[in-house]
Amino acid sequence: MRPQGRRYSWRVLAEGRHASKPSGAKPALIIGIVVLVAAAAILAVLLTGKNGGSTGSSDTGPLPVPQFAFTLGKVTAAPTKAGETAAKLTGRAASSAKQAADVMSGFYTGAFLDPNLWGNSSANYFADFDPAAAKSAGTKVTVLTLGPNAAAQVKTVAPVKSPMTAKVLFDDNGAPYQVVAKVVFKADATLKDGSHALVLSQGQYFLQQIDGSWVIVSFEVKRADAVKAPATPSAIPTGAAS
Amino acid sequence: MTRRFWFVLVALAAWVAGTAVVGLTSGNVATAQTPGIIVGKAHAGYTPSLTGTKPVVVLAIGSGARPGDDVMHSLSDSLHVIFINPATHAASIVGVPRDSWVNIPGYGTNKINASMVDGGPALVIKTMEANWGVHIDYYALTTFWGIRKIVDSVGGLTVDVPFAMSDPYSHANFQPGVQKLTGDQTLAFSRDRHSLASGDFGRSQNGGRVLLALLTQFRKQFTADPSSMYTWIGAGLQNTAVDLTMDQTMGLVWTCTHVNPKTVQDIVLPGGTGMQGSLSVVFIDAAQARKIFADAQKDAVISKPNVPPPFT
Repeated sequence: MRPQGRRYSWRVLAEGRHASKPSGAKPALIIGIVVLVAAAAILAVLLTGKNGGSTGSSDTGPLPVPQFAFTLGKVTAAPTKAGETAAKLTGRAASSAKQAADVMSGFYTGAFLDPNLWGNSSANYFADFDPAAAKSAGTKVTVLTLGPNAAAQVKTVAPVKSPMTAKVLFDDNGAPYQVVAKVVFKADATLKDGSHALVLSQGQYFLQQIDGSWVIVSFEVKRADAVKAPATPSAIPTGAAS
Repeated sequence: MTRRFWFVLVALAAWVAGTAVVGLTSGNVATAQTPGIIVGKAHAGYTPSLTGTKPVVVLAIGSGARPGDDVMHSLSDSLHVIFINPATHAASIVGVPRDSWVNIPGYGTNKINASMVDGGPALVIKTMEANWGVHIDYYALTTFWGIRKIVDSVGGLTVDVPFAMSDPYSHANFQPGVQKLTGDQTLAFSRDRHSLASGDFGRSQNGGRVLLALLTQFRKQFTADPSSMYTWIGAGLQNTAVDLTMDQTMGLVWTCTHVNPKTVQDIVLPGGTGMQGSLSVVFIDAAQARKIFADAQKDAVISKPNVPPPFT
C-alpha cells in the first residue's frame, strides 16, 4: 500500500499541474512559477541523491568505494652520489615514499576495491603505469586486479590494514629518481554465496618520476588469496605477475 | 619482473681485468677521491640503442693504478669484451690476454696493454677494433680500490674456485670449491697468473669467472628481493664516474636482470705464447679472433664451432 504522505504529495503536484487550466494571466503566472520551483526542487533532490553516492539510488548511481590507504612503514634512501650518505637523504626519501604510497593506494583502490570497475572490460586499471609496464600489466589482470570474474562472484570487499615499506634511489644530483614500494595488500571479500575470502596481494612496484608524476615502471607481484569456510572456489585466482 | 644490473656488471667487468699499472701522465691521477670505476662511450657522439636487437658491446679494462698514478693511462693487464643482446638477453664474455702482441695504430707493434699507456681507453678500443674487427660501444675502466669497495659493499662475492691457487705476488691463496671472497681476495683471485698452468690465458678466464659470479650473485639477490638492486646500483655508482644518464644506466641494469649467468658464454681468445725479442708475449690466433668477434657481434652468441676450450 502506498503511504498516505506520498499519495498526498503526488496529488498536490498533479493538482498543481492541472491548475494551469484556469484562465487569467496573473493566476497562470503564479501557478507556473510554483510548478517550476517544485520541478527544480525535485530535480535538485534527485541530483543531490545521486551525487551523494552511498545514500543515493544504487540502481543508477555508482556503488560506494571503500576508503583505503597503505600504512607507510620503514623508508630507506639509496644514494648514488659519491660521499652521500643515506642519513642525509632521509627527509626527501620520506616525502617521495609518501607520494609513491598515494599512487599505490589509488591503484589498489581501483584494481581491487571499486565495485564499479569489477569486470569492466573498458576500465583503465593501469593509468598510473608507464606504457610498457601497462602493456605487460594488461596481460596479468588476474593477478594485478581483483579478477575478471569479480563482478559475478564478489559481493563486497573491505580492506584491512595493509603495510608498505619503500626504498628511494637518488640520482647523482641528490634528487629522488626511483622508489620501490614493497606492499602487502589485504582485504576481506564477501562472496555472493555467502562465504568469505582473504584477498592477499604481495609484491614490489618500481615507480619513477616522469613529467612530475610518480609512474609505475615495473612490478613483481604475487597473489595468495584464501577462501574461508564454507569452502567454495575463490573468485580470485592465485598467481604471480612481473 | 618486467625488466631489470647490467651496468654494475659492466662496471665491475672493468676492474676484474685489472692488474699492475704504471702511471705516465697527469689529468686522471688516482687519489683517494678518484672513482674506482670510469664508464664512457667508446666513440664520441655515438649512443647505441639499449633496447634493440643488436648487442651492446662493452670493453672492460682493468687498471692497476695506485694512488698517484694516472688511472686512464696505465698498463692494462687484462681485458674483457662483453656482448649483451637486450632483446634476447643472451650474453658472452671474451677475455683478451694482456700480453697479446698486436699492432697499435700509430705506435707500431707491442703488447696490447701498452696501448692504454699510449692513448688511454680510446687507443685500446681502436687497437682491438683494428686488429680483430670488433666494434665496441662502451668501455668500463676500473681500479683496485673500486673492486674492493664494491665487493665489500655487496657483502662479499661467492666464487667457485676451479683449482688450488697459491701466488705470493697477487696474494692468492685458495683451495678449490665454492667460497665467499672479500674484495681483496676477489682481486687476488682475478690477478693471479703465476699459479695457473695457462698463465695469462688462465688469468683472463678467471676474470670471466668473477664477472659471472657477480652476475649470479646479483640475480640471486634480485630474485629474492628486487629492491636489492638499489644496493648494487648505489655501490656501483658511488664508486663510478659514468658518462651515461640515469635512464641509460637503469636501462642497462634492467637488461642485466634478464641475463641468466648459466647461459653466458665465457671464453678467452685462443693463441699461443712465445718470445718477441726479450719479451714473453701471447700470439693471438687473429683469424679465429675475428671469427669469434664477428659471431658475437651479430647476436651476443658465439656459435659452437667458434668456442675454444676453456683455460685453467
